Parts: sequence; C-alpha cells; structure tokens
Amino acid sequence: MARNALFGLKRIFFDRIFQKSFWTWRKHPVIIIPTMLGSALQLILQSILTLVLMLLLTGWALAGSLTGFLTEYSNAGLFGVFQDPAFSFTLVPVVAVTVVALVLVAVLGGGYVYSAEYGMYVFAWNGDSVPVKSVLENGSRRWRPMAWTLLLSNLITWGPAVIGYLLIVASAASVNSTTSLVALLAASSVFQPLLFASLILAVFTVYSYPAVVVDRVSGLRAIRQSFRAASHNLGITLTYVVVRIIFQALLLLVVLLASVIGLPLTSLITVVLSFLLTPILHLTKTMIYYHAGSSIPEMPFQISNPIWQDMFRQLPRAAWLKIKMGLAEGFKFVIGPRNLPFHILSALGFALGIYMGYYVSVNGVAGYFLSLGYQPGHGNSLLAQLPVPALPALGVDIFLNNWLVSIATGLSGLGFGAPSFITIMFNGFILGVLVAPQLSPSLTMFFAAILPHGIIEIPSFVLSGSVGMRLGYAALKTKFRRGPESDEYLSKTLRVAVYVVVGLAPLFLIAGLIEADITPIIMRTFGWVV
Amino acid sequence: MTSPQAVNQEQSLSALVQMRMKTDIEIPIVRLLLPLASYLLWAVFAVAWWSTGASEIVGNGISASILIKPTPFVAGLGVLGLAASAAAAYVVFTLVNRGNEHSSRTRALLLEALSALETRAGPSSSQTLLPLNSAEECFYNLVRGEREKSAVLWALLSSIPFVGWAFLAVAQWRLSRDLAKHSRLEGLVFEDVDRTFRTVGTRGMSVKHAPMHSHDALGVTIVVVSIIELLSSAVLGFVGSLVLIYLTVGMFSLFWIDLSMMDPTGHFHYHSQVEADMLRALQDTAIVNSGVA
Repeated sequence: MARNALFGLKRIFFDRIFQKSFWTWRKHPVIIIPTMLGSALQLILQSILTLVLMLLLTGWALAGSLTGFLTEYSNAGLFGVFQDPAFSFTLVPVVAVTVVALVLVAVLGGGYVYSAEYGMYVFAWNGDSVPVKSVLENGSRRWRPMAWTLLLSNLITWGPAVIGYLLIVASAASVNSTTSLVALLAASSVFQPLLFASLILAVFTVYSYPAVVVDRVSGLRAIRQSFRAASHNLGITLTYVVVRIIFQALLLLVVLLASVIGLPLTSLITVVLSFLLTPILHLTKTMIYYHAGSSIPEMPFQISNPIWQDMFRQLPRAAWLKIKMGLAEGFKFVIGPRNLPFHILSALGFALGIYMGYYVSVNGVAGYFLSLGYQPGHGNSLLAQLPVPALPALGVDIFLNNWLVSIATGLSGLGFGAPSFITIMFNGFILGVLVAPQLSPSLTMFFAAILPHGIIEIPSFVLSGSVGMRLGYAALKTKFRRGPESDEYLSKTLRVAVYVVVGLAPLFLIAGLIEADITPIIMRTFGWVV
Repeated sequence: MTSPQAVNQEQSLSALVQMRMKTDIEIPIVRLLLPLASYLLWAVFAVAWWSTGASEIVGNGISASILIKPTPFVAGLGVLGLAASAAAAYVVFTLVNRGNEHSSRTRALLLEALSALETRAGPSSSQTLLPLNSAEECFYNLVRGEREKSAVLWALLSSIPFVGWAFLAVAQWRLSRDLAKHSRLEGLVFEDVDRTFRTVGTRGMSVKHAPMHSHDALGVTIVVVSIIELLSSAVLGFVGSLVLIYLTVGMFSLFWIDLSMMDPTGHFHYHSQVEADMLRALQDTAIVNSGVA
C-alpha cells in the first residue's frame, strides 16, 4: 500500500523546479542563446526602423527637400508632416509598409525564437549535453505553431487593455465639449477593469508557449491547455507570477535608487535579466507545465547544492573560461582568410553609413540639431555631474550596453545578414552625422572625442557585424542549398558567432572604461567643454 | 538469504539517512545579524527620508517627486537597505528551505522504510500486517497533510522594503505551524513502524514524543498588537501608528527568526537517533528473516 498511498497526491514543488532550473542553466549555458536571439530580434525590428529612417533622410537630402522636412517637423510636429501632401505622399505608404513589416517580423521571428527557447528547455532538462545546433533544430521545428500561438495569446491577453487604452486616446483627442469630457471619463473608468482583466488573463495564458513544445499544440488549443494547467495548479502558477514580479520590481528599485547616487546600473540589470533570470524563470515555467502533465511522475526528492555559493565562487570562473574561449575563437575568426570578405563587407557597411550620415548632416540634419540647441564643442553635461567614484561604474555600464548591442548585432545576422549590415551602417551613420563641420568644430576635436575608446570599440563592432554577415551567409546557404552540409555549416557558424561576441567582452570593457574615465580628459585637452 | 531488492532498499534508506547531514542543518545564530541589519537600515532610511521633506507630502497625498527622486543620501541608504534585505531574505530562504528539505527527506525515508517492511513482512500474520497497515495510513495522512511553502517566494516577499516584515512574520508563523504538524504526523508513523518492527521479532526503535511548537500565541499577539496600533492612529496619527507597527512587527519577527533557528534542533537530534534505530532494526529484520528461512 505504501506506494499506492502516493496515488492521487502528486504535487509540483516550485523550489525543486526552480533549483533544478538553475543547475540546468549552469550545466548547459547554451540555453541562453535563444535569449540572445531574442535581443537580436529586437535589433532586427530596430534595424527596420533605422533603415527606413536612413533611406528617407538620404532620399530627401538627394531631392533637396530635407531642410524643408525638418523645418516642417520642428514647426508642426509629426502630425503636421503627415498632413503636408509634399511629404505624406512618401510617408504614409512607407509607414504602412514599415508597420506591417514590424508586426510580421515580430510575430514570425518571435515564433522562431520562442520555439528555439522553450524547445531547448525541454531538451536540456533531461539531456546530458546540449549542442549549439539544437537551437536551430528547435527553432525550425515548431516556429509556425509558436508564431500563431504568440499572436493569439497576446491578442487575447492584452487585447482588453489595448482596447481600453485606445478608447482613452480616442476620447482624449477631442476634449472640447461636455459630451467628449464625459466620454473621456467613461473611457478612463472602463480602462481599469479592462487592464485588470488583461492581468488576470496573463496569469492563465502564462503556459501558452510551453504548451506548444511540450504538448505539440498551437493557437487556441495551446491557450486552452495553459488555462487548464494554470487553473489546476493555481498555487504554483501564482507563486511563479509573484516570484517573477518581485524579482523584476526589486531590480527596478535597485536601478532607480542607484541612479540617484550616480551609479548607472541599467545595463548590468539588463544583463542579469537577459542571461540569468529570464532563462531560469522561463525554464521553471516550462517545467511546471511539464510536471503538471498527468503522465509525468512527481519530481523525486534530491538535495540541491547551494546556489549562492556557486553564484559567487564558481560562476565567475566559468564565465571567464567562456570569455577566454571566445577570445581565442575571435582571434581565429579575425585572421581566418575565408572570413576576409565578411570583414570587408562589414567595414564597407560602416563606411557607407558614415558617408550617408555625413551627407544628410551637411544637407540639413546638422542645422536641425543646432536649432534644437546643440552646441558644437560641448560634450555630454551629464558626465560632469557624475561624482568621480561613479565613473568606473559608468564605464562598466557603457561596456555592458555596447556588448549587448554587439551580441544582438552578431546574432541578428541569422536574418540573412541584412540586420547586421544595417546596424553597422547605422552606427557609421551616427558618426557621419557628428563629423559634419557644423557639429564638429574641427577634425582634431572630433577624433579626440572618438578615437581614445573608438580605436577598440569600432573594430569590435565591425567584427560583430562581420560575424553576423557570415551567419547570414550560412543562413542563406541553408535556405537555398538544402542539405546536411549546409545545416552543419550554419550550426558551426552560430557556435563561432556566439563565442566571438562573448569574447568581445574584454575589449568592450576596456573601451567602456576609457570612454568614461579617459576620453573626457583628452576631450578637455583638445578644447571640448565637458 | 537477503534478496537483491532488500539490499537496494537498505542502500537507498542508508543514503537518505546520510542526507540528514545536509538537510537537518544548524543555522548559526550569528546570521540573525543580517535581518537585524536590514531592520535597522530601513528604519534609518525611513527617518532620513522623512527628515528630507517627505513629511510635507504625506498629508497631501503621496504624489510628490521625492518618492521618485529621493536625495542621494537617502537613495544610498536605500541601496544599502536593499542589500541588507537580500541578506535577510537569504536567512528566510534557509529557514523555510530547511523545513521543506527535512519534511521531504522524512517522507522519502518513511516511504522507503514502509516499502522495505512490506517486502520483509510478505504474507505474514495479521499481527504484523495490522501495525504495518496502520503505519501506511498514517504515512498517507502525513503526505496529504504536509504542504511545502516555497522558500524562494517567501524569501522574496520578505525582501520587500517595510512590507516585507509582515511577510516575514507570516512566513515564520506558517513555518512553525508546518513543523509542528510534521512532528505530530510523523510521530504517529514512527510509532506504528516501531510496533511493526517489534512484531517481527526485532528490538524496534526508541520512539519518544519530540514535538515542535507552533507559536500560535506569538502570532496572535503580533496580530492583536498591530491592530491596536492601527486603531491608535486616531490618537497618534497615521504615521505614528505605522512607525509603531514597524517597530512591533520587526522586533517580534526578529525574535521569531531566533526561535525558528533554534526550535528544530531538538527534533533533528531526535531524528538522528530514531533513524539510526530504524536502519539497525531493518538489518535485524533481515537477519531474523534469513534465520527463519
């Protein structure tokens, strides 16, 4: 009877799953790659916007109407520009196409990323080794059902809140009579219950994505499964939700308080969230859903090693080992003769960006910045306000921010190389805008502000673009020349890309520290007011 | 001759008994300093925040920018307070996790012991089966009656500034109630297991009652005092009553953490004895059985 005594008493233990999730993350660090791909997807979305922006500005500059556009924009705002037939003829279709492209890429790309992410969690939970290629295998396996579920789940969950918000916006647009004021008040009072409904729905749709990979369902069935699992295991679901909210709220509080004392920690917290908390919590969520399945037995009792000791002792050493491997891989990538075309392409993208930026700057953008109050020869005044002990922290913040961007740049190459190229081009574009004579008093002063840290930072960015383009080439090869050889090449390139961008960390750290601590001194020496 | 199944059962039982060194740990009393530091730091934070102008806004509704943008000194205290809260949360995690692991290990141990007894008893006389069935029923009640509280959740709730002290008190109360219930239910299983051992001709285990107390009186006191303090806002003002509640709940919680650290020590000591007895009795059963064979 003893064994039978447990029948019907299966329970899911949050702590056991959470602790095993941590150790799974430690054992298979490769499971953070989908999270990296998530930030790459954000960059792809951003690169659509930056491409549109760069092309529009350059097009208007070539047509000689850029100054007119900027004047109209500063006088009448974006709404006024849309009403002017001279610009709306171009702007309206471009904006419409951009919005459609953004939604499509977000949904389809999200489907791929989440399919890779949740698929890997299930694989890593019981697996002894998780190769990099499983990211691609899991991504391509369930991306369509995941994209469909992502769209439906978000519509159902956040639809009520969005409707409430739109009602407020619509009624606030024309508050000029008693009736419209009443409409605004009514919309405001409707918004709160709708938002509350969305938050409640968010609790019940929390398992929609795990359902796609665990139960191989999609769309409404996945959402229904999620509702079922959440309502049958409400206690542990609420525990998960509360744990997630408190973690994020506490981290936000740390950022807010630290920013007051001049400690910029935003990038550090982003790194902690992206590479540590999100994978562990998503893995926990997936495994709660997995263990909620009726055929899965109760998790056996096991003693878990203390997490805190590992976090402070073994984890930094393990991270350093990965970075060292990344440095070696990066060096091999730089000197590899087969990678030369990608290096050249990346450098060309950067140079093209500088040229385009310079062109739009001298043809109107520089004047627009001057009209906004930009003073040539004056650096960022925020730097002067920071206390000296906070400067290294600022350096670390700059490092982490640039590193995250370079990770996203490198891995966004999976979108057939274009996002990496556009991102590198946009970095050059910004530099090109700043190099215009109206904004930089002299080339010497410009170089004094850019070169001290840029001499390390710019090649590092170009290198992340280069590895992204190789990834894009591998993705194209897999798409058009299907076969195990192409798949193998893509897996190998993804592995190289991950190691290269991880190995760039020390370079960005040095560049960041120089940018925060040394560049301002050099700038002052060359006449800048910082 | 001892069957391979019995050997496996003995090995896994022995492994579970050895796990006691990791689950039934003593928490050094010096760790009480961590929540104490958190308590003091947040108190200083409140005073500093109050003295930098917060007092002007509380009466007019909490909407002023000071909440969003405190002075650097207050923000620095806040950062230190959060660090101390994290350390205090670690103590809460350790306490709740220790309770969970002890209960889980006990359940796993008893399940193995009952399975081993079942194997050894076989189609035995009703004299043996009666206490064994009773033990299994008590074990079922133990499994059904125990509900693990997430140590991660309660640690995080306790780390929320100010409000966390209320969660800390609730966590301690629930922990003490759970442990009291655990000691009561497992005691019944141990008694029946002991009876089963004796019916098969071994010396049995030295089962004694080692109860843990739920400290309900302390919990009720905190609630009653807090309600009185809240009602006294008519005399002291809202802020005054909040200060009193913070002082009361905080101090009671610190005292309770001390109790939670020390309380299970006796129970753990009892386990070390009873588990060794159980292992020995099981080995004796094997000898008795092989003798009969």
